[in-house]
Amino acid sequence: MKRITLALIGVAALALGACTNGTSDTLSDGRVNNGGGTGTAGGEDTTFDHSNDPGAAASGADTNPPTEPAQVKIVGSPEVTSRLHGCGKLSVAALGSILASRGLTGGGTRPAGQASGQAIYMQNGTIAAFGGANYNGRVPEAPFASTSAMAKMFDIFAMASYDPVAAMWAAPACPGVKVLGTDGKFTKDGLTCLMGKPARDEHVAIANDAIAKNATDGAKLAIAALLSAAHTCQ
Amino acid sequence: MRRGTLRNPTWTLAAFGLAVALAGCGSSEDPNSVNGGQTPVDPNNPSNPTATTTPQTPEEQVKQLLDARKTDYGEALRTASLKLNDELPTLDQIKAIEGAADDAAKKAVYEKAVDAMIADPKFTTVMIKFFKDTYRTGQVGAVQAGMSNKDAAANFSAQVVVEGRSYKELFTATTNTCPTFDATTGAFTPAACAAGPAGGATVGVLTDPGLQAQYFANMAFRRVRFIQETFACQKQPAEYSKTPVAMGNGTFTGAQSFDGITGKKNTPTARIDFQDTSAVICANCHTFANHVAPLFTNFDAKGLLQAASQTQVPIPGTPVSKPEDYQPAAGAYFAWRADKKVTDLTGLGAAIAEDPEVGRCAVNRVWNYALSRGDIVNDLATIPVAVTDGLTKDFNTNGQKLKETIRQVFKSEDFVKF
Repeated sequence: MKRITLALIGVAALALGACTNGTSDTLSDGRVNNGGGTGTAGGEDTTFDHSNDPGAAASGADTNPPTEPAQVKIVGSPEVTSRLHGCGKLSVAALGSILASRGLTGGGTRPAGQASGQAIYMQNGTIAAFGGANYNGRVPEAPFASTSAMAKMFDIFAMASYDPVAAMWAAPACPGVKVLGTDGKFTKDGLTCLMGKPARDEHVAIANDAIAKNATDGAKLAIAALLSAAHTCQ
Repeated sequence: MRRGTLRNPTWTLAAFGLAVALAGCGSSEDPNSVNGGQTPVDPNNPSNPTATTTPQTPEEQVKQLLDARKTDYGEALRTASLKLNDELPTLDQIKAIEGAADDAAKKAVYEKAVDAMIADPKFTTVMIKFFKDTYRTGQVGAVQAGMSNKDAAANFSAQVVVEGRSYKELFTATTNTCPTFDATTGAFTPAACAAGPAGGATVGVLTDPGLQAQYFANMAFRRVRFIQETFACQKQPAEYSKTPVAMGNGTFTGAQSFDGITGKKNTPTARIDFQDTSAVICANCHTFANHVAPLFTNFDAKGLLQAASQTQVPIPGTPVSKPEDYQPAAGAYFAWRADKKVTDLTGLGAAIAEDPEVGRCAVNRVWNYALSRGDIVNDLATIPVAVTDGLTKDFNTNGQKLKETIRQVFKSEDFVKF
């Protein structure tokens, strides 16, 4: 086992070390130090690097900010980012309504003693873990999901996945629709219902692949994964 | 390589590690990039995806990045439904858009759905929650005896929005500013706020007992900060002088007179030295705050207006604050901004209502809510003026009806593109 571990680490390190595209250096935002300077004083072609004596920079040692800061290069300027959708957290109320409108109310058959997704949602502590408001502390509901919120949401969807595979499953918002067809495979309308937006053929194919690979739990795994992925952002 | 080498688990795992690591190498086709790793297509020659034009100016870069988005009414419907009604769209709603013949038809179906969502009673509940989160104030559990209902300000604000009334009423309404809301019927019941022994005029949400109680603190500065950050969308300093002055250990940037606030320089017996410049320039914020806070000192911890000051000075003994703690008696005045002197809370409300930045702030809060950008102050989700300038102008010309701004934002090109 030790050999396996060492081999993995070594090869991965070598491979990652090869991840360069010429001049790119992610630790310096793509800026190059030509070696003309010492320490933090920058190089022959740029003095962008921090001065060793910020209180009294040498005469002529004007700093050159990068023409395209990494942040702007990656996500765009404020004029761009303010017009793009962020990844907002589902509100506590919305999560509750999804469970109710999609029939994820605990009707499935779960392993003995396991709580349903809706039961987890209703538990004490779930609201706090999911970033709910704490008005006594002057804290609004969190606009973005924390790791805790994501984990809690996945807990809920993982256990809720037992519900749509049940024969009696019915979603109030999707009358007449079944997630699994009579052939035991996913239906497009069923996935559309769970995701709240049109499912693509790829969604259906991936979900059915899970069934093919694991006839016992594949459908539930696919449902949990699709719910979590679709509702990661509001 | 010897036959059977890959059956050795060490090499199999090593090969897997190599594949994973190499797959993680960054490249110009990073799927996490704004355009999803797609090669930009030359609009003049769409059949040749490699013939791209490199943007030369920042404006061109902005345009190229924004043009990379794609309209997706299905995704927009889901997001709008979650934002406006706290629920996913029904399968019928989804299929109505999916089945529309073309983009124009999808747009028509989507916009009709947005109108329906805004007309839905659930929109009212969402608006109440929106204002609770904006005010960071809501009733937790039952209202305790003698305490104020902390839902009232959010209820009133939501009522103003849902009923298509002017946003200015939040600062100018003189009656029925503490309505109750019945979630089962979706109806507001008008009600006046509880009055303290001193009575006093009702000034929109500014005199709401729940808000006053929520932000009760030393010298009423927390109330001032709440009003500034919530309705003007900017942390203090609230205003800046055009002619900053080097002073002490920094620069005085306040827009109102340095000598107009209490400090050791003009009042040797001052209990708090707002003119201190030895560490930070206190006056940068307090030339604003000290002209507003005295208007709120008579609200007690329950948010009720009393005849005398109820707030304390944070010094040993925690004495009750007096007007001289804020400003020297000679020349004292109240003001929303340097050029907006007022005489009382009603005047303050009127000045806030007429402040163009307050209207812009309301629009920007709606924008950030719709696009999941977080709080404009706490999350530093500021918005360049150009992005919402058109919406703000429309907001002001349509009588500051925030409901129409919400409708406009959710139907905007930016909202339906992903």
